[in-house]
Amino acid sequence: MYECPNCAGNLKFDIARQQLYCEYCDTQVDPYHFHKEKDVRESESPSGEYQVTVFTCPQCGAEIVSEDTTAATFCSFCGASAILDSRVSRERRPELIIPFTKTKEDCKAAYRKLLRRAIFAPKELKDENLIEKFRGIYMPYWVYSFEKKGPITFSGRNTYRRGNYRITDHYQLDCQIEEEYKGLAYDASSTFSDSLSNAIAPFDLRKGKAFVPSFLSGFYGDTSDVGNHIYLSEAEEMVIWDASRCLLQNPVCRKYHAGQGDSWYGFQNALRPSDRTIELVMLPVWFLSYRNGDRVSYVVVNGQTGKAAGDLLVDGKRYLIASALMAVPLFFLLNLFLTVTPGRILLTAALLACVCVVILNMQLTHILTRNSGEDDKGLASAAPAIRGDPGWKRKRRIWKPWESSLGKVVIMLLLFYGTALLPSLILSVTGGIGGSRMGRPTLLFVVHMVLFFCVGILLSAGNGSRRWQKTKRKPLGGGHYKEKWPVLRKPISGIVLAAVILLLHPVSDWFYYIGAFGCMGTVFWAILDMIKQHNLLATRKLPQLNRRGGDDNG
Amino acid sequence: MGRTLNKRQRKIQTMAWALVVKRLCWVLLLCGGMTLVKPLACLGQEQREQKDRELNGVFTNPDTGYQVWVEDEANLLSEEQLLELSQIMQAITEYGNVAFVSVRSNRRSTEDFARSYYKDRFGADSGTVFVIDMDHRNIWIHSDGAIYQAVTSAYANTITDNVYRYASKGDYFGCAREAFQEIDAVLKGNRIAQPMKYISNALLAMLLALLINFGLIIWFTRLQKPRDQTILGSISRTFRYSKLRATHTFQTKVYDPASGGSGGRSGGGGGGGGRSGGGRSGGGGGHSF
Repeated sequence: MYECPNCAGNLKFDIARQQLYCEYCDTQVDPYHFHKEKDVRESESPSGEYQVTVFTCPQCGAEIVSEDTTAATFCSFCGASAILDSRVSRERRPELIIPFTKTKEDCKAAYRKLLRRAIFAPKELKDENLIEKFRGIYMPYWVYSFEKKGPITFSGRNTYRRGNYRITDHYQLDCQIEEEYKGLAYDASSTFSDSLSNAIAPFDLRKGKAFVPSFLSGFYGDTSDVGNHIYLSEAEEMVIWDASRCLLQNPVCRKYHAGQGDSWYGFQNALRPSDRTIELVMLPVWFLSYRNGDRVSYVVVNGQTGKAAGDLLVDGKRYLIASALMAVPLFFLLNLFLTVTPGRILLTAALLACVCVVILNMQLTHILTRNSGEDDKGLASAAPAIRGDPGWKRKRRIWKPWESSLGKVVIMLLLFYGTALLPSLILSVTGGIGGSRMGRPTLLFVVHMVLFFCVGILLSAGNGSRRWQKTKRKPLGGGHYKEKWPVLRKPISGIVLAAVILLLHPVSDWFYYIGAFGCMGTVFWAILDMIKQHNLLATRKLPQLNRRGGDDNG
Repeated sequence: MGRTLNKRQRKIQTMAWALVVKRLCWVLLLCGGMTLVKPLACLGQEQREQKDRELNGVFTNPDTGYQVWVEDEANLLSEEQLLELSQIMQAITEYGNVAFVSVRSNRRSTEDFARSYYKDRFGADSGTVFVIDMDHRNIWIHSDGAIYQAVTSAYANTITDNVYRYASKGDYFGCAREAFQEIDAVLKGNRIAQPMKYISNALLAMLLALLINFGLIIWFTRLQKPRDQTILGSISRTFRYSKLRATHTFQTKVYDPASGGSGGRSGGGGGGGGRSGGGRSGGGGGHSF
């Protein structure tokens, strides 16, 4: 606690005044001029550390740094209202800090503005008691700076045709460059997800101040547990991309096609920064956690710019009521323009089921990726070292034989002819049932395309192109059908039902209507699943950081 | 002797005159008969034509000039049924031509047959044709002109949906009768039963509303990562270059003869074919049975 020099009250950093302020005697003190014995000792410390009180959540292991004893009332990360364990510790001293400039009122206003977009958010999210729980936390960020000065060399070429020859003139391009990028910030806390920290970026590091612990008074601080090299390559790629973009605008580079084709890697390497600096800075974030059963969702507000982002849940009841209201004008609109035949209504229902399959597959892939930590470099880097959990990484995909080019060609041929011949065969067998020959080519084509599409999805999901492999992402989820099947089987059963009826092509309309309504039922069921999956995506597993004393079962 | 001869001569003369008169009477009778036979023959032909007209041929509405055509090539209806059907169809001639056609053998699709028949019979005039295609076991309504404004493809589909069950049971007369009665109802501005349309549209509207709202949720609640340009705009950034120069180092030559222009210049494809002839305005709908 920072004592007021006037009345010995608790001095806290006041955002509006940008000073330490005593609310009892109105005393204002410049954070840099406040001399506290501890600060003096820390400033003299050669190791670049400072002494803080660290509060650890006994349930999730999350740590917050504070001078305020009230920090021990609840955990910001898992929402647990347990008494936090406290201890005095020495932490790496950040080089910079951006003090809060947005007050709690600004933060609440930004949150309310955010909620305006969340039209189906549950009313609990608008509860004033919940909004009051916004907590100002200084989050640790790694800030990367890059520099390169001096001559660079890269290649260029100019190709033209003369007679039966293609002639290429090769050039060496030289220039002097001076590149300097300072302040690319990436969050250094595994508890703070990359998706949330990206959503409230950027911070303006140019307004950063030299760190002194007194800035933390009245607020909380998270500790860094992510290695400083984790985001280095990502930041460097961004710098190279920007430098390339600037240099390639030069007419000489354009004339000699610099950075095109094979010369791209050489061009990038030429621009690769030679000097890298990594600093730890504390950046202001307003943080709100909302516990929903065994999961938690977060809303964060940038304490410097006021930009808000969050995991916004959907209230199923509100969603259904709003949809029912929207369906009324849609119904009249459809009656004006649309008279669907039984066959078409069945096809439409099957098409909607296909849309649901695609959306659900994307959602499930996202959930699997998030649960495995693949979409959060910080968490993925911190967690294995801490947890030592061999099951942390996603399972390797099963499909191996199709990775060769020949295998792919064979598969594509089998896929094409298989999906084309199968419906023809079935139709020739069931020719007597259908009765009408009209529209059979169309029907065959539709069935062929649907089969080709579905089987193609399954194969590509298991295989994945080189581009996707490079980015470590698989198109359409990269398999994991065992996990996805319980959800995907609902709309797929609707598609199968529609396909069977279309193939049998019965005369009576009732088959089509019954099939269409059945398929629509599965679509409705799938949409409810989509909302459930959305809410899963809008909440996160309770952090189980197990840093010091964290409980794996938290 | 002279008196006897005179008597005989007079008698012969009288007989000759009688013969002449008799022959003259025959000639006159023949001529009269001839004059009477022609009108009688014409009367029979008219009766035959009338009957033929009533069964297969035309009825022309004297007020509008629109015609009724009934051509039961597949012999699905009895003569009485054809007469009754043509009387039902006459009500439609207030709005346009009307035809009932049944075919036993048809190489084309039912839709093409109906379209082609309509064009041959009525040209671009207003009208509607109801086809029972026994080859494809399909019924089809094709309309054009003023009638198509009312009996749209959607209505044609609805009507054929409503009546196909008669055809499935072999009641072709009932099928045609119901179809023309529903066409007449639509033309008079009355509503026809289409419960499944409303049920289907209601369910479809609900699903579409759910999907649209889901799209809105995704759009408004997604966590957006700022673009690289935005991030780079918020940092201290300097990139300068100078003395950019190019020095020729070496040259490579690759033998690559021109391929005679065949590759990649494979001539434009033919114009859009298909059945979308210019100015086609009519349309219809059908149902298998």
